[in-house]
Amino acid sequence: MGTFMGTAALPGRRSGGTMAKRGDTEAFDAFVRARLAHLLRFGRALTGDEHAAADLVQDALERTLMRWSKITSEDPEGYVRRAMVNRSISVWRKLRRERLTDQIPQQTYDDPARDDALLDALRRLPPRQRAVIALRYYEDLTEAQTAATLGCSVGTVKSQTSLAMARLRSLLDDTDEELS
Amino acid sequence: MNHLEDRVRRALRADVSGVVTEQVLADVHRGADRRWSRRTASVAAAAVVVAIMGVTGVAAQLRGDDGAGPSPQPTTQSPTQSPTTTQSAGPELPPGAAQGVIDVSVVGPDAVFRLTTNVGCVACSTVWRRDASAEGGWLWLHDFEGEDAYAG
Repeated sequence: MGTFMGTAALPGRRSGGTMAKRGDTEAFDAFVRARLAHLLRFGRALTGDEHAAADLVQDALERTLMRWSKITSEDPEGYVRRAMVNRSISVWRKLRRERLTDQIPQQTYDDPARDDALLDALRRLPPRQRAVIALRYYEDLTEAQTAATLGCSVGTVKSQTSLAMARLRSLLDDTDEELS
Repeated sequence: MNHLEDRVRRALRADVSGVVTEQVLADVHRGADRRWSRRTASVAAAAVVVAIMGVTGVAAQLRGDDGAGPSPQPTTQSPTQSPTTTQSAGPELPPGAAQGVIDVSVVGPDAVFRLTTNVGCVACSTVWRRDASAEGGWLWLHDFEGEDAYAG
């Protein structure tokens, strides 16, 4: 995505093409400026990785921009969120590129506030369990809202949450033992 | 709320730093423009193919109306060179198609399509798209089946 540490000047922006009205472009840009940090955190919760989160957010925002005039009167953030969840799961299904690993990807900066052990454990969960964790513990959605977003039953949300938390607890216990 | 849930919430709420919002916006607009271009080209190409198929259907219907008597029989003659009805400048058609009649030639936004009906055989109407990388400069897209395609 090239957004991390990037300082390149902002190139000229098209007002036509993807957008019918200049006002739509401005509204979309304002939406992104206001919600980008939140979306990136949600993306990190879905992927367990900040770079993957940035890619996921950009992909979802591109899709959102193309449909902006149709969704702006509804719930644009909900649209972006669903796009991110669906994409994070479908990409995993399609490519199976994610591998469970003990190695933490190299970070480009060091943030002492970041809980690397938890993010590492999060990365080892299946994408659907990560999505449940992200929606329940980051977005604070109810079980019913989470089920609606994921297109599954409330019972599935409960079982996936339980499995995910048990797995996280186990992984973090292992990490603590290794450190001690 | 237990300790682990607390820890998860705290970790997920930590800021993602190092992101330049304006750069993200620029990347998003560029990416959306690319997607829009690809989508427009695909839709246009599909529309042209559908239009060609529609023309083929009408032409076949007209041929059927004209020959209200006995239905046309397949010929045993080998394909022959024949003039084209709407020949336009462009690369030569592949050997089989060059022996047919070009029924229609359509120029799309980024592609040229042709419908040919090969003289002397049945089931020989074919849709082609100009493609410099293909043999003869034309890429085969679709053959139409059945006696409606007969133009011998």
